[in-house]
Amino acid sequence: MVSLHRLPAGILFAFCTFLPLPAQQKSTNTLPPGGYLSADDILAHCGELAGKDGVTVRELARSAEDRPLLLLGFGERGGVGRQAVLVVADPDGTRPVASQVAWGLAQELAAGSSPLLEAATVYLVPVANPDASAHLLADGFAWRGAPVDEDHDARSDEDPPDDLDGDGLVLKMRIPDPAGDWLADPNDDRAMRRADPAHGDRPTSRLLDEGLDEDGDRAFNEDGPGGVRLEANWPHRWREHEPAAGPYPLSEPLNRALADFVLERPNIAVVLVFGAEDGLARPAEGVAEPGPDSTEPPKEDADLIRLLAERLYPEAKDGEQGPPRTKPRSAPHGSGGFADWARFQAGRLVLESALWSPPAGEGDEPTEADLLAWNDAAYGGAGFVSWRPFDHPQLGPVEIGGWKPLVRDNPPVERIPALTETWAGFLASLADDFARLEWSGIEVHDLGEGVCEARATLVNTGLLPTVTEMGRRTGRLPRIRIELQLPEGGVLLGGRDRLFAERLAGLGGHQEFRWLYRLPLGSGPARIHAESLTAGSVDAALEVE
Amino acid sequence: MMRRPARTTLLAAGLAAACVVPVAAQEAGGTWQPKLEIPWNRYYRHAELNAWMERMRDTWPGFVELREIGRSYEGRPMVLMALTNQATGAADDKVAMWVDGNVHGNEVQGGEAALYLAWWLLEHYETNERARKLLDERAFYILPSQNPDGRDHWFDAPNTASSSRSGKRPYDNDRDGLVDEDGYDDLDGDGEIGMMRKRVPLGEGTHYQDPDDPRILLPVRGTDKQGDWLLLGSEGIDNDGDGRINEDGPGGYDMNRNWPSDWQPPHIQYGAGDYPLCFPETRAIADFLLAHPNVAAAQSFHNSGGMILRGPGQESIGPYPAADVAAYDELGEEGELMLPFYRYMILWQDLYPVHGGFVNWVYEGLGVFSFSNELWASPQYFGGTRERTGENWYATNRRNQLDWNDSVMLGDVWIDWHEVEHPLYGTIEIGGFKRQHGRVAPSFMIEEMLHRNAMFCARHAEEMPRVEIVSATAEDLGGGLRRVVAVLENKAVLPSRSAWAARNHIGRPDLVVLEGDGVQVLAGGRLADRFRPQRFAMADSEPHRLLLEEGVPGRGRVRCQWIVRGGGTLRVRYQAEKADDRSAEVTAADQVGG
Ligand SMILES: [Zn+2]
Repeated sequence: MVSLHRLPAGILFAFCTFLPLPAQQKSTNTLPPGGYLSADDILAHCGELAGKDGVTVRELARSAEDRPLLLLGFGERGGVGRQAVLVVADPDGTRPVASQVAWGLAQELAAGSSPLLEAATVYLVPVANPDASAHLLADGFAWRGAPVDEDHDARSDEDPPDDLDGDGLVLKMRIPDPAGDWLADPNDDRAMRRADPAHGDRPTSRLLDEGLDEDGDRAFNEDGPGGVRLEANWPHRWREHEPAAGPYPLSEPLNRALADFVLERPNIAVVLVFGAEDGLARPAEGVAEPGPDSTEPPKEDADLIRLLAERLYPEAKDGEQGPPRTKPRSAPHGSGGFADWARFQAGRLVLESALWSPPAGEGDEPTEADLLAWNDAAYGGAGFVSWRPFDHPQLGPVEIGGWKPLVRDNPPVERIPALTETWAGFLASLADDFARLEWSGIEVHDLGEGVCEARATLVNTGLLPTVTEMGRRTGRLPRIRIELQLPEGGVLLGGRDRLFAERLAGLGGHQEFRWLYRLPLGSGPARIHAESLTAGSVDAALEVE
Repeated sequence: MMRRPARTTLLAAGLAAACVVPVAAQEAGGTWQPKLEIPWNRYYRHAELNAWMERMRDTWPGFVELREIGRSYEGRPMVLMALTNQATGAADDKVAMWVDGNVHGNEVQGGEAALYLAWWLLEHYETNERARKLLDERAFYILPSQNPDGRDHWFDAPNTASSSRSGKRPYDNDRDGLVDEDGYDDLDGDGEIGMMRKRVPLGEGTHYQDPDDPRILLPVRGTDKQGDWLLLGSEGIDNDGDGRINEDGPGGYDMNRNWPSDWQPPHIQYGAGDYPLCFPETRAIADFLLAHPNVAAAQSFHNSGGMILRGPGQESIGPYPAADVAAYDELGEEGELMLPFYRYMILWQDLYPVHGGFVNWVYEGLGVFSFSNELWASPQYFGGTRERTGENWYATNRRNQLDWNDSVMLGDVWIDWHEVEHPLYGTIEIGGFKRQHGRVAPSFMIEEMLHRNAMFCARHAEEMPRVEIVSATAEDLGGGLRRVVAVLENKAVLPSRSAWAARNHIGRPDLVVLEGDGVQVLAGGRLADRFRPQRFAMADSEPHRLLLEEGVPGRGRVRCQWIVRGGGTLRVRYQAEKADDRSAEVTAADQVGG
């Protein structure tokens, strides 16, 4: 049997044309990934932006299959404390919609009209896992880095999933088995649900991924191509000895290059991740004391994320119609992912979105029935391959069918522009949010003979903090440096001429400072200077009232 | 050992079943003449260590291969010695022991201990049967210094016995946006970093002079004494004007907290680095070890305190599996006999908890038995005749050490207090022990320290797994069926797979393969009860290729059994990452029951 990734394209096409045409009405939606740009296309387009005004293109590393990890910079310019937003698309290589949207954003940002670029630099990684993304579109499943012996049998990659019926897709096998876990929904034979003894369900089937047991160990598809997952290879909650997590955290060059890039730039204040998890649709509550393995940010940071999330998913006001937008489904919280590292170890404000889900019926998240209804309405049912009998060489008569890859988590290409606009708008909305330092409450008392007592309060008037609460806890982000600058001949009598503030929260977070000094006769006033790599700098004169 | 064809059992005979070749006992009567005379009464800079390794390579052709596995932050070559008799096989094809020292730059003597191990085995290859077996049958990967930058800096810049622990990548310890801007300052220009003290009016001090020895300051706290001295820390000034002294010196991290197992970021574990293996030195070593699954034992050298340490580094890891603890204990307890003043200890429980330590990673990450020795203990100054603890331990210990300086060293390791002008404190005194006192052995005692520790490594290496197929027999069951039983035996203390490796699926399980033309293998599996051969643990699949997740236990046996059909000749092959490959032809059983 041929495994899918070796199947000639011609066969793939031929089998597609034999699919039974659905009875439903014609639809204007294109089944994903129809119309999607491939990872290689996006990378090529991004490369073409090099040399354009206000755009920088960096190659941070090269993948195992020699694809570049590209990082685009927009509005990069000097100046202490110019803050930055980093957008990272599809680190797991399982959500092509993320890179489609990221490329749309790149085009907008390259046009240079976004108000965000006035306030901040934007860094964008349009394809964070280029090999996996390329294979997902080409083969139907994400390819995962270096070969790994997942089933610990002293062989690597020997039991991949297989396209048994030659339709170009790896789907599910439905195997009749009274000892199985599944049964078909009586209302819709396509939908399978787990048998629940409490509901009197009698199981009828086992479900397995389409494939053979190549290595004869009675397990199917348990040691497929590659194995190290970039999204399991980051240091926070890294799972040692889990094959997909890699031999050590950041063993994968793409990850390490991205980590170094972030660590070298404390001015990256916000990290926006388009991936499988969605912390914006259902923001975390936050905790008072995040432990070493926390999945919840500190309360202060969670509150801020919730504020920002409301821009995307406004709460329904009394008497108003709630927003029609379905909240994307989030994958369960993973271990060793980029977003957790950026939040808990690099100490940045991390926003995560899964971008899109098909519309939900009753709840705010689509059920299997909702998904099938969407499939029928949007694609005339083409997103689901109905169960068809197949004579399996090892299992005997089975059925093959199920969801086509990508359909449940990626919108039809026609929806991408609107989605891109939503996120361009969200990014633009951050323009006024960055931490901003101001001196206020300056009081200088002349105590006679040039002696002055001065007080001043440093305030953060932005929405974002100078560093997140988690960032403060890491102790690895720079503090705000405050200097008293006395004119020539001035003498400090009390207080310190150089000191530091840890963190000023947004929306008025402040700290007061006090000095006693003597000015020489006829000199100008003392000055104070505050400077932060994460919030810029501000000066003031200590003028006597 | 996957990469090497099976070797005969002759070469790998155990300690007891030796094939003795008589050799001249050259060492008897003190007439031994080394081929390469290395003065073992001093410590060497990194380039000198490398030069000695080159001399060894040239003195003993065919035994020493030098490999540069990476470069330190400052670009020093990290030269690893692969030591074995190349005529009996390449190092990478043999079961090997890893030995390193000096991950903490100031803990220099581990480098000499590692070097000494290679030197002693090479010098005794001709005359000592066990040295010969170790070099013929085993290999050593020896990296004298994990931290060459820290090592050289300790020698060549003003330091204390405890400073220059870090590597030399600049690090902002005080978070002021500047790196390494406030280290020690050698105010009196004597090349040493002493302590600073200042006399103040009686009652204003924190310390008073010991009436028995005015060189010693004792704290007034907890006494009814009045102080007239302030202790002001190590020699230095406030270079960056932040109100603190010596708070951001060169480097400022701890490479022995940078390893992947149980790593935690710097706000949880001081010195951990930004992420595991973020330093070029640790990274190069980890990449080497990951690429060398033939490493079956490891030793790391530190100073000081006289300890033979093993993991876990944190209580939360839980105790190591009982079978592994038993093997550790056997080696550790023998080490206590070999190393007077050393105690065999568990890191978190008996010393202090650490995240991300090297020997922890080697065991918990790679499944390899590993010790960390803390070389040199202060009771050794007087051979244990002085009390180590007591009611006023601090004062007693200081007096003992000054006695040592005054009598045994004729005052050579102490800087007498002398006046210096300090920009902040005014007139102060600087004095104290020189860096070569306290943590490294004094010159005349170095060789003994090196020898005992090197032989502890040699003993560990002798106990690396040593598996043989002691029998492989077939019994006729009638009807064309045969029952084949192969018995594997490991004569060494260490199992071919640690219980930890088995539990966590680290590396590759041992393989026992039954091969034969025209033979159908109907079932195969481990046989636990030799008297009830039907009750064997039949493998679910591929019965001709048994995976031994637990390997072959230390000083233990494993029986494998197959039911086969067909009359062809059969051969049993054993393949392991951490034991030599074996192969044996199956013979007809003499008697039933196998
Ligand atoms: Zn140490």
